[in-house]
Amino acid sequence: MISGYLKYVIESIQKDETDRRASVYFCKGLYLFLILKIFFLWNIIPDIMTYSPYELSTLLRKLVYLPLQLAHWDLTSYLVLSLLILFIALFVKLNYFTSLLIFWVSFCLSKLTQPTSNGSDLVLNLFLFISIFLPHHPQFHSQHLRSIQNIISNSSLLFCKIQFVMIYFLSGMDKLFSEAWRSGDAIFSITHLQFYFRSSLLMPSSKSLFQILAWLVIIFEIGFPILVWVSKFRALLLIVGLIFQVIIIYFLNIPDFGIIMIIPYLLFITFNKTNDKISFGSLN
Amino acid sequence: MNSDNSIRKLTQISVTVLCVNVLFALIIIMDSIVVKSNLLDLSKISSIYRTYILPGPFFPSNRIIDNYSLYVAWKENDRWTFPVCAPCHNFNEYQSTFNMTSLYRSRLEQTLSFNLILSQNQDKVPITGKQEWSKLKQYLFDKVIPQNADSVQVFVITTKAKNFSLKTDTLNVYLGPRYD
Repeated sequence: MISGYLKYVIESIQKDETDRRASVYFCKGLYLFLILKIFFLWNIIPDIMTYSPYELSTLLRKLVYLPLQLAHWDLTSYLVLSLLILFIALFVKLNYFTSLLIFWVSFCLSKLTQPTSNGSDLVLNLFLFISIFLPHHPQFHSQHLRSIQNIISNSSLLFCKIQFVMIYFLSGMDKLFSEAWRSGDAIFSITHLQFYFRSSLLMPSSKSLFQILAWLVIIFEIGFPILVWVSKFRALLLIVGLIFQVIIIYFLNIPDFGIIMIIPYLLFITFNKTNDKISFGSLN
Repeated sequence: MNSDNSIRKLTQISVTVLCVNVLFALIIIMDSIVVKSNLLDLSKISSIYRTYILPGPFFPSNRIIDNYSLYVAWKENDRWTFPVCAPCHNFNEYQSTFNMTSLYRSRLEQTLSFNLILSQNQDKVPITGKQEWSKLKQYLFDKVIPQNADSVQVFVITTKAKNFSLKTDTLNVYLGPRYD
């Protein structure tokens, strides 16, 4: 099994793929998500800066969060400039410059809006960081350098997929080793989270139901990272995962987290250039 | 030939980095979840890795137990108003309109009240002398409480949902006539 995975890793890194729509849709999906986030946060950011401001203690932090100086000087200019970079990136080819800038914008924005942030910010910044190495533009003239560029891009793509499944695996293992999750008590707690659980949903208070739901979550979060690499399970897992995330968006009221966990599903879809169809089964 | 060699080397390096990453992630998962030694938490590299490269776990059992609800009541024309839950109001607005701005505002209000509860547990300084309280107070007076309010009461109700049962606790701050 391990040698099979290793063979897959080497093939994925070396393949000379001409159709890169999965990476393009993935990156542009992240950019669109960030654009929407800025729009919805627009009126809240001044209040965050007034009532819950961040503090930068060291010189290194001040350098890392340098763009925030502009936010302090003129918040509107900072947000407009961020949106401008994002819109440009949305309509031009994936390239190293806009990818790097967007990561920096997002990383700084997360610091600025920390009181309203959640796990989705960490996941977004992780993927935006990896996506700095995904593009093929500007392209080198030499064939040799282009091959190197290709290997770096393929490795980054694979790294994105690996980290994505690892996030599921970490959460799944944590739940598996938690008594509260195994007994279903965690689902009981979640249904009483006032600022998460949809208040209109009347859920029967049955311990057995809570336990069944908890185990379904555990099985999915551990099963997905292992089986999504196997072509015959991939389509089914992506559909189940999509339903799982939609439930999180609607019933747990965490739309940002749900959406940011749906976008990487694009990486597991093969977009077929010849007949413009998508498939799930040609990766290995 | 040289070019082929360097491509092969780069592939080998990439494969090694990816494999080491998977191994490191698995070791971290084993250390923090299965063995629960948390030995790796002591190192700066693993701490950065856990925060930025392998975020999670999400919905751990210890983080889904406590709920903090912030309620405010004020005296107007010698009568106390019915307590208002500002974060609940914005959260409910999100649930009916799907406007993310309301959800973000609710999260800001939750953070301000959560920080107050957190600071209360840290030392024995009276709550009204804490920085977290002054920030929350400033927010409430600017956004929630009308200017003609005479006295103000702030409650933070903590609900614990654990072992299939609920327990509540209340933190109450009273600000006397004209906030003395």
